[in-house]
Amino acid sequence: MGTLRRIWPLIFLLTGCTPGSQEEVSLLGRVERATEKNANGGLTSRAAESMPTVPAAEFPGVAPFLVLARTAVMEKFPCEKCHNEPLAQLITRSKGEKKKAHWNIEFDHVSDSVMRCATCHAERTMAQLETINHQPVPFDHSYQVCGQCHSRQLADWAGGAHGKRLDGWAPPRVVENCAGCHDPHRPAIAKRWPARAGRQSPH
Amino acid sequence: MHQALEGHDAGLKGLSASGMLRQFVADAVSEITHGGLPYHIWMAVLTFLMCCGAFAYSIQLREGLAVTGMHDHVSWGLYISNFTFLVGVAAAAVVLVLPTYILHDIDFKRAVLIGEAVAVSAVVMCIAFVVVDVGGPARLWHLIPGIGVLNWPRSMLAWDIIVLNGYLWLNLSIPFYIIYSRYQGKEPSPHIYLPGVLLSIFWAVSIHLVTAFLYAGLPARPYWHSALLGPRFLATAFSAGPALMILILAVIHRYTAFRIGSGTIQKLALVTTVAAQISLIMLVSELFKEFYRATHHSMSAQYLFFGIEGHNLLTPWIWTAIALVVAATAILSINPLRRRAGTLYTACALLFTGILIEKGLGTIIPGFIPEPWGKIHEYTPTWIELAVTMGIWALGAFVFTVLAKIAIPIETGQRRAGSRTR
Amino acid sequence: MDPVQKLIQISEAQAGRPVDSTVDRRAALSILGAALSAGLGLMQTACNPLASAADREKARLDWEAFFQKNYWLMSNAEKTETVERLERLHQAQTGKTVRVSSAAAPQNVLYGYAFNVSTCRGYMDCVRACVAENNQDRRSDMRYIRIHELKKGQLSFESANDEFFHEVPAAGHFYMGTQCFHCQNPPCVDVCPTQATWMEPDGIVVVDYNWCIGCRYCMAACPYDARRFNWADPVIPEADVNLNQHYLGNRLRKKGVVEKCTFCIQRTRAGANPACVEACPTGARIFGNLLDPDSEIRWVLGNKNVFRLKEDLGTEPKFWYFMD
Repeated sequence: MGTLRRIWPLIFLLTGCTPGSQEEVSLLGRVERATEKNANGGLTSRAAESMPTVPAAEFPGVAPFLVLARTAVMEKFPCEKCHNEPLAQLITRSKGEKKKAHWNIEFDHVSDSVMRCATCHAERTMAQLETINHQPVPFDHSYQVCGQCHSRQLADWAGGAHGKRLDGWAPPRVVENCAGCHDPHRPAIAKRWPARAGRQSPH
Repeated sequence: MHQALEGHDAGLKGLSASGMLRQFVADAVSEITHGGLPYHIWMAVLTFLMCCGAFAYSIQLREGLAVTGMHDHVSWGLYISNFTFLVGVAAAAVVLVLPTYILHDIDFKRAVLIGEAVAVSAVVMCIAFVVVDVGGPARLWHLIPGIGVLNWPRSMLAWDIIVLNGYLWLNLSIPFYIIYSRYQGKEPSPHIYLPGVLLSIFWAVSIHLVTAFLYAGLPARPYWHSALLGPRFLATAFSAGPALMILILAVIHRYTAFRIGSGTIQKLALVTTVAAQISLIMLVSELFKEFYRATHHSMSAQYLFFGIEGHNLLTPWIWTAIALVVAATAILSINPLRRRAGTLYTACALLFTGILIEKGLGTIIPGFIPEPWGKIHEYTPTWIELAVTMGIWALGAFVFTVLAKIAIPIETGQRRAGSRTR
Repeated sequence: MDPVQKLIQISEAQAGRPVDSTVDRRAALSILGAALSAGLGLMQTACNPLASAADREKARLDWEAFFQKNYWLMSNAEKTETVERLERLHQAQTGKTVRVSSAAAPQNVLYGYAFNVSTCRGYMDCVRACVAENNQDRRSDMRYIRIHELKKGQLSFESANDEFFHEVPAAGHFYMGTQCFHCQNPPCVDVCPTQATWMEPDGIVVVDYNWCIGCRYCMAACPYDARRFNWADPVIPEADVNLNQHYLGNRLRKKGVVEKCTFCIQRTRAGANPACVEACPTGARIFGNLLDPDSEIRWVLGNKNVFRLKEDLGTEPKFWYFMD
C-alpha cells in the first residue's frame, strides 16, 4: 500500500487516471445513495431548545418538524382573558356601531367576494381559527388555514423550500409559522431599501 | 587596450580541481569588472534600473499588492504577462542548440552559447516575475517537495516550476561544462554534453507548452480555453526568440571580437520568418472562431479588439501589436529585405515588440475581462509595477551581459586558464 | 467496510488528497521548527533587551507560525497547538480572548445549499451578515456574496446590475446571489501549486491562510468569481471583530492570501446555519446535509426544479437554484 502511494504519480502518467476519479461516484449518485436518516455527525441545533415550539402536522414525504408557537408571541392571547362572550354575539351586539377593537386591521388579502373576517376566524370562539368547513384550527397551526388556498406554498413550506427556518441546519427543525412573516390581513411584503449598496467597483 | 598577463602557464598546470575552479571564478570576476567605457555605462544604467525596481518592490512588500493595478477581477497583470512572454524567449534558445549539436551546423556553433545565455537570462527573469507577483514570497518554500507540498501532477503551476528550474539548471550546467573545458584548454566531450543537449531541446518545447497549458487548462476562462493556445505560444516564441537573438548577435558582433557568420544570422532569420508566418495564420484562425458567430465566450476578444461599452483600454495596444507583427512578417517574407542587415534588424525589432505586446497584454489581461459574471473591470498598471518590470528586464540584461562577458573571451580563445590575450 | 467508512473514503478520494504518512518528515519539520524557534527566540531576546516581553512573545509566536506545515498534514495535536498559538497571538496583540476552533468535519455530513430565485428580493441582508461574521477587510469592502439584479426575460448576468442601490424588488427584475459554490469537483483545488486549498470531507472547500503563497492561480481557475485576495492588510474595527473563529474559516488573515466563503465553517460544524442563511428575512436560502434524506436541502432537490450555474463546466457545485 505504501509503495502504491509513492508511485501513484507514475500510474497517473501511464494510465492518465486522475486523483478522485478512481471511484466514479457522481455527486448526485452519492446523494441518492445516502439513505441513513438523521446521521448528522452527532450535531444538533441547540437553538431549538430555547424556542417555544409545537410539533407540526404530518405531511407526506416530509420528516417530522417543529413550528414556532404563534400563541407564545401573540400579545393578547387567549382572547377569553378579556372577551367573555362568543364572537357571533359580539358582532350582533355591535352591529351598526363603530368597531371598537381591531380597528387598525386593514384588510388587503383578497376581494370581499372571497374572504371576510369569519372566513378564517371561528365565529363561535375567538381562541381558534377554522377551516372553510368550520373545523377548528389552533393558532399554533394556522398554516393549515393558509394552506387551504395556498396549497403549493404549504407543501413547499413543509418541505423547506418556502418560509424561514429558525434554528441551525441540524435537527430538530424549527420553522416559522406563515403568520410569522406574512401578516394574514395584509400578507404582501412591502418594498424596502437594501441593507447595503451594491459593491461599487472603482475599475 | 592590452590586458596584463595573469598567471603563468607552467604553474597552473599543477592546480587541483578546486584550485582551477577558484582560478576560473577569479578570472570571471576580473572579466566582469573590466571593460570599455560603453560596457561600464551599460552596466551602470542597468544597475540603476535594478535599484529603481528594488525600491519599488520594497514598497510593494510593505504595502502589499494593493499598490499594483491588479484587483480581484484582473488578478494577474503586468508581471505574469511578462513572465508568459519570457518563457517563450527562453524556449526559443533551443533553436540554436538543435542545429549546432544535432545537425552539426558549423555556422551555429559560435552562436549557441549566446543562445543559452539568453535562455538563462530569460528564465531568471521569469522566476523574478513570479517572485514579485506572489502575495507571500517568504512562503515560497512551501513549494519545495519534501519540506513543503508540491501539487504535482495535478497543478500545471507545479509542472511549470519543475520544468523552468530544470531548464535553468540545464542551460547553466551544459554551457558551464563546455566553457570550463575550453577554459582549461580541453575539448568538451560530446559523451557528456550531448545527452544534456538533446534533453534541453525537448525540455525547451515543454517549458512553453506547460506554460500554455497553465492557461489553456482553465474552462473558467473561455478566452484561454483553446487547443490552439499552446501551438500559438510556440509559434510566437519561435519568432520572437530568434528575432531577439539576431539583434543581440548584431550587438555582440559590433562590440566584441566574437564573429558570427552571416550564414547563422540568415538561418535564424529564416526560422523567425516561418514561425511568424505560422503564428499569423493561427491568429487569423482565432479571429475567425471568435468573430464569425460571436457568443458570450467571445466577449474577451470583443473587449480586446473593439472594446465593450466604452471600455477599450487595450484596443490601441493590440492593433499596434498586430500592425507591427504584420509589417515585420511582410518584410521578413521578402527575401532581399531579409538578407539586408538594416531591414532585417528593423523587422526583428518590430516583431519582438509586437509579439511582446500581443502575448503579454493581449493574452493575459483579456482572459480576465469580462469577469465570470460578465462585468467589465479594466486594468491599468501602476508606476510600481512598471518600475519593478523595468528592474527585472534590467536584471535579465545584466545577467546576460555577465554570462556573455565571461563566455565570449573563452569562446574566441582569448582567455584560457592562466592567460588573457587581446 | 461499513457504509459510513465507505462514504468517508469516497469523499477523501474525491477531495483528491493523497495523505502523506511519512512520519519522519513531520517529525523532522517539527524538530527543525522547534529548534529554530528556540534558537531565534534566544537570539531575539539577546539582541533586543529593550523589547517588551509581549513583543518578544509575539515575535516568537510569529516565528513559530512561519514554519508550521500544511494544516491538512497536521496531526490533531499539531492542529490544537496551531490554533492555541493563534489565540495566544491575538491575546498578545489586542488583549482580547479569541476562540479559534480546529473542529473536524462531522461524520456523514456533506453540506448543500439551495437558493430560491423567486423569493430573493435583493435585500442584501445576507451580504451584511456575511461581512460581519467572517471578519472581511472593510477597507476594500470585501464581500464573498454578490447579489445580481437581472432583467426578466433572460438569465443573463452580462446585462445584470450588481451595484444597485434602490428600493427592492425593482419592477421587471429578479435577483440571484452568487458566492463560492463549494464544487464537488473544484477546479481551484486542482490548480493550487502547494495544496493550500482543498475540499474537506464534509464538502467545504477551504484555504489554509498560513500555507497559501498568494499566486492567485485558484482565482483564475474559478468560474464563479468566488475567491477574494487580500491585496493589502485587512482592516477591521476592533469592536467588529467576530471572536468566534475557526482556523479554516473566519480567523484573521494577513495580506497576500486568498480567502472565500467557507459556508461559515465556524457555525456549520456546530450545527448552526451560515450567517447568510440565518440573516435572509425571506427564507430564500436553504442549507443542510445532503446525506440526510430528512433534510430540507434533500427535499428541495427532490421536489423542486433545481439548476446550477455553468453546469456544463462539470464542476458539480453544491449550490442549487430553484424557483417557486
